[in-house]
Amino acid sequence: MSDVPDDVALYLERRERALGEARRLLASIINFVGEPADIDPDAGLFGTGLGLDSLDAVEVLVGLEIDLGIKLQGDDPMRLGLRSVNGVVDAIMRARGEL
Amino acid sequence: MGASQHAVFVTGVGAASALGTGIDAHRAALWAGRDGFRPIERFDTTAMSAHLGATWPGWDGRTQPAINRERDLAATSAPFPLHELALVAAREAWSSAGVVCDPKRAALVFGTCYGQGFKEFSPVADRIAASLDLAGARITISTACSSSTNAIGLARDLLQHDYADVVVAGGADTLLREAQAGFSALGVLSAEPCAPFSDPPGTTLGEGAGFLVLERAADAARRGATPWATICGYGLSADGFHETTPDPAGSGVSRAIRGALSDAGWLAGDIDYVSAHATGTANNDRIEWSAIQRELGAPAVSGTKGHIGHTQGAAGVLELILALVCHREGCVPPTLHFRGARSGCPCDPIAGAEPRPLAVSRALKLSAAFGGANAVVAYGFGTLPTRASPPRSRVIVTGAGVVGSVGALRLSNVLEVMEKRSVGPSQEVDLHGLGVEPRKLDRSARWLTAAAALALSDGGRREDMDRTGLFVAGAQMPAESAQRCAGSIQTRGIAGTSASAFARMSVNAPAGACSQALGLLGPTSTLSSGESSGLLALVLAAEWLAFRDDADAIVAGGVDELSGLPDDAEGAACLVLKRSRETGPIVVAGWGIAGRHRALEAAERAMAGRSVVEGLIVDGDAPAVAALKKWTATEGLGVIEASRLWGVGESTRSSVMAVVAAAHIAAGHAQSVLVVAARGASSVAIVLERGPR
Repeated sequence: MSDVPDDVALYLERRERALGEARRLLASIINFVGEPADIDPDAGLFGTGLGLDSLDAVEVLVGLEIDLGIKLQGDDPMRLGLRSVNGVVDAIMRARGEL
Repeated sequence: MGASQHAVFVTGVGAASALGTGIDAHRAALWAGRDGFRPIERFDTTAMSAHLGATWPGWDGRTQPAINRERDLAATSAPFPLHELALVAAREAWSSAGVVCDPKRAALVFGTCYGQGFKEFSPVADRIAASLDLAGARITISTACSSSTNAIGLARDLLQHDYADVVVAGGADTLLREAQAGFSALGVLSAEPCAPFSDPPGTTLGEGAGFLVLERAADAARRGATPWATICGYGLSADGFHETTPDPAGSGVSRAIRGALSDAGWLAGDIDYVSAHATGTANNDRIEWSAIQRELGAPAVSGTKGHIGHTQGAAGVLELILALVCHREGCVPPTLHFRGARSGCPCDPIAGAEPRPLAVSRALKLSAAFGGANAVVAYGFGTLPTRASPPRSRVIVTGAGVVGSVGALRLSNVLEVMEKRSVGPSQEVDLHGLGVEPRKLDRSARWLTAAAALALSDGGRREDMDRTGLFVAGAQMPAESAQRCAGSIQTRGIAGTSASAFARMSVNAPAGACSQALGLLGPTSTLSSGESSGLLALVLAAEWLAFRDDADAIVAGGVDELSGLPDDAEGAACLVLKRSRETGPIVVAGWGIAGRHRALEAAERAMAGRSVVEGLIVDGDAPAVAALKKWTATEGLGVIEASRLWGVGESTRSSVMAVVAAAHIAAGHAQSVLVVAARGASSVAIVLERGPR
């Protein structure tokens, strides 16, 4: 839109792309019924959120590193801020220097 | 009432594992303190976390047995034919028993985790049966790593209830690349030889085959056979906790131990020795030992995966055979590679390299598995008192559920669409509406869970879930998870094998997920015996409830998932059977199991002396259907052939037949219906009838 500054528009476009990647990755890991776009960006990954367990958490790390080519600094999901769908989006963007 | 249960003798044993081929090779290795681990050569393990495997030496040509002499197996990377490995052990067991019997009365119960290359399950049993001329009931069990333990228990039941005079029971699995990669991705492999209860934690995969020949003690004694042991009972249970992690409280293992003790009529203090599952992983060993202590005090315990690795579906029978070889010489097998107890593990699990002298009168073989399927076999020696046969309890049908391309149906509306043939994808079911959290369920697991939840809600009230079991027919690996696992290997390489997809990639995974979603913690089993499996699950559930008291209800049915073939159908169908003092509207009046193409024999047994039913629902080839029509006097409902029912997959078809029979009775269309599944590895029949008002 014309009234949005270019850098904000670029940020939103990159965030949307990373959210799409995060949703697709998580949808496949949890056998999500429906469209990945239906996954709430604010949903937590563990517990009452998406219900990931430690096995799935490893899967998220492997998916980020191998499927998306994201270099992660460590392998503890909590320390990496991977607590919610948005946390995964942040991790993707941070690794790409987009945050 | 008052009659004793039949004691069942083990009169033949055969084994092939990393220790070698034949019982003598295993005995020699046990007393030499030798293990069977070697670097895996048949596939590249560079990207995996472990490179050792307990591979069968007959495979790679180093000490190739006669059976494979003409074949250069090391040159090919194709999966080794599982039936050839199985037959090495099955032939030894059969010839060592030296039993002569009518082939029609000789049954086979085969257990396997991954079958022939993750694809063929029942066909492997077909080849074993053909080679040994076993023409009786033929059953394949796939409850992952407890498969062969479960198989031995079921074999005991077939003899106990006179479905056979001789049963060959055991299991086999080969070490497959994807399995090594999957276990590697799960982080449960040890870089060193498996050291149960000790450091470093982790398991080592192996391969092998083990078989027992079982006979009723009276028959064996009559022909002067010397028994290896007496099989006295068994127990099954579901953890209902996680695909791969055992219930931390160990309550699943506990329930299976209690089931085996009660089946054998033993007390906890009677047990002299336990052959533990003891995979070597931190979780399994600690949880299993806590359950053993809680249930049994402190019996002698050891685990033999330090010798033969984790032989997957063959683990239970091979480890039992290693124990029997030691017991024959007054000893128990050691836990090889034990260098001091890990936290929460026994401090002396028969430490050392050689078998240790110990008098054993009564013992247990424990197995646990992915999907949370536990199995325990009780065995003993000498003159053991047998438990009085319990009176046969009444078994009733309390509900049914069907899920498929026709939608989600219950007993009350299933007849509306029964002849609406349709194929293709199943309709999604609102699991939330059934009180189920659908999170993480793959397609197979969703269909099965939905059908089971519908069937349970049909009954009107919730059962005691600790005492509600789940018997499932499944012909294949869940396709969606198998494809996801294969896809992860394709796109990421073997190092990126999806652990969560691999964990759901066993035939019993849908049952495990369903147990977890619905909290069904009673006995569980998964049968993979072709088209009659669905009805077989129902018959085995009826038998369990009629003659045992460690479950009040069992959900029994089948599940299929689209595999990509044209005209493919998917879905699930379940019935809830309940043991009941009072009669119910639908009573399971009788049932029968017989060999392939022996539908009349199964039907005759199910009819139990009656001559007339009002309906016959049958699946079979033309001659079988014609013979059944001629033999059964049907009045009223007449004959319904399964081909008229909606398109459902192989595992679900005969479950749907039983649901339709129950629905006709519930609707008042018939007083009694005979259901016969005449296709598949066994012929199976059941009679449902209207209970007295």
